[in-house]
Amino acid sequence: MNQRDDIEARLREFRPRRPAMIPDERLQLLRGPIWIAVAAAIAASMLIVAWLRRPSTPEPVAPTLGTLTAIALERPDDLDAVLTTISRTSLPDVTRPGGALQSLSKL
Amino acid sequence: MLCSRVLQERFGRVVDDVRGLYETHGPALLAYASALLRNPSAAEDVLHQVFLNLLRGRVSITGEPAAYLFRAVRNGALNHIRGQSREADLTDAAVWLESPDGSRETSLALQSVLRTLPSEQREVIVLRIWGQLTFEEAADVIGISPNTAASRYRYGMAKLKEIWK
Repeated sequence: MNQRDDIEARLREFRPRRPAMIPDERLQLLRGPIWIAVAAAIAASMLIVAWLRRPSTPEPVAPTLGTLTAIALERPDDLDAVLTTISRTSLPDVTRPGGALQSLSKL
Repeated sequence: MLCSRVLQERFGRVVDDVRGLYETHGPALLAYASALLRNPSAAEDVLHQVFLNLLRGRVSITGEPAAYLFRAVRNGALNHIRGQSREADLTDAAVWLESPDGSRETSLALQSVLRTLPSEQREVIVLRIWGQLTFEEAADVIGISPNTAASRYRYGMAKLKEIWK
């Protein structure tokens, strides 16, 4: 028994070698959070671009010749949208029930 | 943002735990893998794969960490052996047990003596001496009874005593 203890003690004097660092450990450690951050950044930038590109609704303007002329001269690109908005509120809806379109269709 | 931070903290804790296990058990696990495989670089690869799987979250430790790690290294080593038609004979090319006097020759001599033992005796000795496992734990790693583990250890040590004087 003592002889076995002796040889055990001799064996224990030998120390197992320390293994090399796990390859690309730092990269492996960062890979998860980096992909989460990249995905979040892409999603955020897409949302911002979509928000900036949303169609602008023109401010309500008085449907007068003066204001329309001013818009046509100063912001010609907006004129079409302004006219569409004005026509929605000032012109009658010909498609409503009992409207002009329905009356004409009965003739 | 909060979600990302929680994930980062949780991930960081896992990494610290795994790194701590590598620091604590890495040398003994490498010795165990080296005792099972004839190729030292394959032994290190097996060890790294076990820890990379833990870092990537592919597996999680169940039960006692040391016993789990030795079992995982054993499975990896056996898979490696099964995958190789013939292992490169690099048995004594690298030191995996460092002698107290720092002599490479002494280390290689002990490794060579250990190689003369049957692998089932050698692995129990490595688990007991350098893995510091009990016979019950070593038996659990290998999948044998504690009595069988103790018996293999006894026979192995008796042979070592004869050869290594």
